[in-house]
Amino acid sequence: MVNFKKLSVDIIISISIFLILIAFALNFGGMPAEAKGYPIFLITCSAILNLFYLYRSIKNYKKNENKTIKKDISKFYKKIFIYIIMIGIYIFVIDKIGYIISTILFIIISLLFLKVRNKVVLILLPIITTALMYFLFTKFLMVILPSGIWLF
Amino acid sequence: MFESILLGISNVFEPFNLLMCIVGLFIGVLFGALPGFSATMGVAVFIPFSYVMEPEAAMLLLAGIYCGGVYGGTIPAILIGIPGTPASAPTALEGQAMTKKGESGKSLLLATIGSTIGGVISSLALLFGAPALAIIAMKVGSPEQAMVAIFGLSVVCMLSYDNMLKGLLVGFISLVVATIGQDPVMGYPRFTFGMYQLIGGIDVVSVLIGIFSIPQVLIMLENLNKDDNKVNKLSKLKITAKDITSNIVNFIRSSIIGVAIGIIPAAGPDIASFFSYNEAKKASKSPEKFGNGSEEGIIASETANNAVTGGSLIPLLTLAIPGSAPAALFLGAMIIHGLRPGPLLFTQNAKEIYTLLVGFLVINICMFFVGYIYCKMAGKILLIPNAILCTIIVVLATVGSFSINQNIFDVIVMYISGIIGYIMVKNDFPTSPVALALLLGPILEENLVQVKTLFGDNLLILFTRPLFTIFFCFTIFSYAFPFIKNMKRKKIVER
Repeated sequence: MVNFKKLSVDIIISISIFLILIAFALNFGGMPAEAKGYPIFLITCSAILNLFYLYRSIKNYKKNENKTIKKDISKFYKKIFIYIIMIGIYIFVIDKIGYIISTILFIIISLLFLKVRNKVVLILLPIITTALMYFLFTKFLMVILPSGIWLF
Repeated sequence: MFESILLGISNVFEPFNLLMCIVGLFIGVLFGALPGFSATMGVAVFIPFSYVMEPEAAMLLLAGIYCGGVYGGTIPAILIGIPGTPASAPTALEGQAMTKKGESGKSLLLATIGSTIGGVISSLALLFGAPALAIIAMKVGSPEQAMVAIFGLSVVCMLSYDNMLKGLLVGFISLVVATIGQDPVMGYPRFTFGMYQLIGGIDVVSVLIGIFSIPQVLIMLENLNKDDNKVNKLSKLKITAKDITSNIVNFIRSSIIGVAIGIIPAAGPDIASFFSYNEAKKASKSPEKFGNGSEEGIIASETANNAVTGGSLIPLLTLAIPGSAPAALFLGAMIIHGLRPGPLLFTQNAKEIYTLLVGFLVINICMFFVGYIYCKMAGKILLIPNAILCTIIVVLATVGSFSINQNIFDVIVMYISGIIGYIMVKNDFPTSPVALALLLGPILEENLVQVKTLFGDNLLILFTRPLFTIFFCFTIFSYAFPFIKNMKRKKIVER
């Protein structure tokens, strides 16, 4: 069980938005006036809106400070987090070991992770999906899919 | 115009184009039918597939997915009781009641006929309405175009009137993101953070694929263990002639409601569906049947939500205002294929655009047959485990975003957009404004630069232009409308 104060998430998001806007604003140095006028206006508007959002989030947070939402979310977010990492690894290796091997491996691991235990599905789905997409993209859409820089 | 329509007819019936209409429909109905998936997701994932096609075939494929996706929500609404799309919620209510009476086949067939009629009437409205509006839109210059883009962005405000602040914040930040890359005046590379891949700007399609597919996949994973949906048995797909003749007024009324709501930016199929359902209840001789398995209710809801599809493309094609997320994706796809929506589209790209307009009609007619096939197979399709679907969507999104420019950077953009999209959805930030702002941002900046060059600081002179003033009033209204609505709601609550 995790004590989770949901309203604090809004504050974290608001601060993150400020950091992103600052990162953009730091690029203005050396930028010609013609190029920076429009983005300056947009960043200023975004900062003002974010200020309102932060103010509202702090107000809500203070109002609900004592009310904590008890949810068993640790297991639930862990699954999502692991799946996001899995997609990240798939994207990282796709141009390293090539489309075919990485996709077959990703589909098998994804199905096992999502508790598919049917052996026929586990064998046939990765092969058929990978082959079908390979055919569609290379023959029909003329896309050259990664062949793997670590392999060739 | 008549010649252009004939040209459109001859193009649509070319074997490949016709095939794309049907393939699009099959994909679209599948995306609409699977709970958690949507027409928007279908269009986003399949935009890369349209890259190598001729613009006409590409547009027909996406139009098929869009129309099929809106219809597809009907199937799980009736057979499981879960609407595949929000627009099928009234259908779920009535369809489930009819299913309990053993009339699932009848309700599915009525919904399919309603969707087809709604779609056909909206196609006719699009075919004759869009070129007529384009004649007026010919008088649009760069000040009006800038104001139209601002109006389009005010849709952001309307799209998220339940949470305006978050909607506006998302809209403005997305506009900032849209400025990444070379500026339109000097070609100076802005906000590239030292990455050469960003000099040309962020690829909008990669962002849209990420934001409309990955969050849905992750949300489906959250509910993976709860997905033991029970698919109800399908009874005979049979209706009587009386079922149709007694509902003719209902079909026409619901279609008109759907088309009108479709034209209004930000008002989508869900609003049309509920509105039409309520109107049918008011007009019904037996309103007590509503909620207990009313055929009129199903027809009203399904006819209206499919009638929205054609209506929503009218402001997109004539004024470049995408009033919904799928329409915004359409805009993205059109720009990729060199079709710049606006009044000149109907003269400069008559072949492509009339093929789409006539194709829309053909797609909606074919929808009856494709829908019928799906109704027959529905029991099996709805049993496909979400684990398999999620995995395939991730692979499709990855390979699809790679195929845009054949580089891995676009895949990374898709992945990051997907994670941001998930955080947004989990924290009640609307994602549709991202699509609108990213697509309209460059158009807005380009036109603002032209206005500044032409008129300098003397901006008041712009109000001597009637169309500019009209669009200005529309924009003020659309920004003010949610505030007024919120204030009214608060007053009612206080009472």
